[in-house]
Amino acid sequence: MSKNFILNIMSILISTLIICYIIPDLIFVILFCGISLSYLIFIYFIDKKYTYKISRFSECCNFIENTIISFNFVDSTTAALNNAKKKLNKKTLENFDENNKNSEDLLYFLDKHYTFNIFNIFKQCLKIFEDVGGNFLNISKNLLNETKRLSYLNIKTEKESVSYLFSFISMWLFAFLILLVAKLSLGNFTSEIIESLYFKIISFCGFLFYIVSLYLYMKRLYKTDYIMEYKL
Amino acid sequence: MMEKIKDYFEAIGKNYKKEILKILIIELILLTAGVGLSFLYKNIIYIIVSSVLLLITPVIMYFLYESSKKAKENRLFNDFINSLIYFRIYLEAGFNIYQAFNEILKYSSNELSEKIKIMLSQIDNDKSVVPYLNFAKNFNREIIDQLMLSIYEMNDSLSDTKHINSFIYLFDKILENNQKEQEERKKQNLLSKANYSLVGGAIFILAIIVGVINLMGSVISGF
Repeated sequence: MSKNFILNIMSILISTLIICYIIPDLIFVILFCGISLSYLIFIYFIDKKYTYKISRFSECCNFIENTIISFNFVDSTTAALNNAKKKLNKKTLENFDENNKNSEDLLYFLDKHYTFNIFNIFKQCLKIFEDVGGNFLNISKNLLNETKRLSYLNIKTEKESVSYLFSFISMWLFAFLILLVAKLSLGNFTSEIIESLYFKIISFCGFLFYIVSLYLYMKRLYKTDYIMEYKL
Repeated sequence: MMEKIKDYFEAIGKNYKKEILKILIIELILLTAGVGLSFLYKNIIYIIVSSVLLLITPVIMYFLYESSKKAKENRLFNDFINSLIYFRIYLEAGFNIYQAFNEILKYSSNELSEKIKIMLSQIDNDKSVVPYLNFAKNFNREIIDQLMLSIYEMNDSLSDTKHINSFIYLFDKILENNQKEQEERKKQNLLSKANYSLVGGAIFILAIIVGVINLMGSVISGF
């Protein structure tokens, strides 16, 4: 579960509690809870997909970096790949047959897992090295720089998204605070105001708008333009 | 006049007949709604409002076309920059310029691939700088002209480090600016979405005002 999703749960929980406290009408309470729950279920799957993609990409970049750096100490592709393989996540290598010592087997296996452009270029660089020879560190100097740049972008995006989301949610909670303050300060009048159907409908629209804007915000936050996947 | 409109739609990659039909349908709906409402409520104001909307519609559509054109240009530019990252890696790996362009075809969008293919076919027949500059025209940016020129010079003398350095310098500059631009755009987009909370706050205040007015109304009618 990512930090973004936890923030989503907290904000939805607080806002739903506030709105249900303001409008304790059974039909509206069911509507608020239903919408909140549906949103959370929906965002859970999007978040899961995003987290998986980010972590897979980060792992792919690390693998490429480790392989290139390994060429400082070893001469063969197989040895460099095996060195880098040691640092891979166990879950990634779950279905990989450990008896396959061949570098091609490992690349073929990882190719299905890392469907990114950068991995495909890495594979091509390795092929050139195998065919022509030379110094792999020279061949892949730009590839290493690009991998480092992408890794940096990946970490930056992940960190920034949490702080952006936090500020967005706090601003919305202030909007909900208006309703809460009104309920507490208007005293006896509050029950009369809340009885009004117009009040209920407009507040419901406000809540719906909150959910929609949160969804749009999350959609933009989860956009990863820099992660490009290979088109077959 | 009609020729100009036709040329405009062709330039932005839209079907001329389809777009004109779309605008006419919107105008027809507005006109029918205006006339219908005026007859229904016996008030000429609806016809006036629909007439104003009729006049505004083409202007709104023009702005929409312009923004979609700009978005398309940006998309193409970003795609090209991303492809050039791979292009540079291929060059480093020992590919020549023609081969490197051929290799990046599979990482580019269909639109960019088409343009690169046209350039490559032109290079087959013309070894001068012209195909490179023709390709640069797709982006309407001076820096891309310079970049393509440096690629051509590099092609002419791949061993000359001066040309390679000039390409690397230009490309690094473009990449850095593009990254900053994208980050700024993302920030602006997120900030503008944060303003939704102000609209939300206004909706809740409206709900309270409507509730208070409703209460006052019932109190007055109760007396």
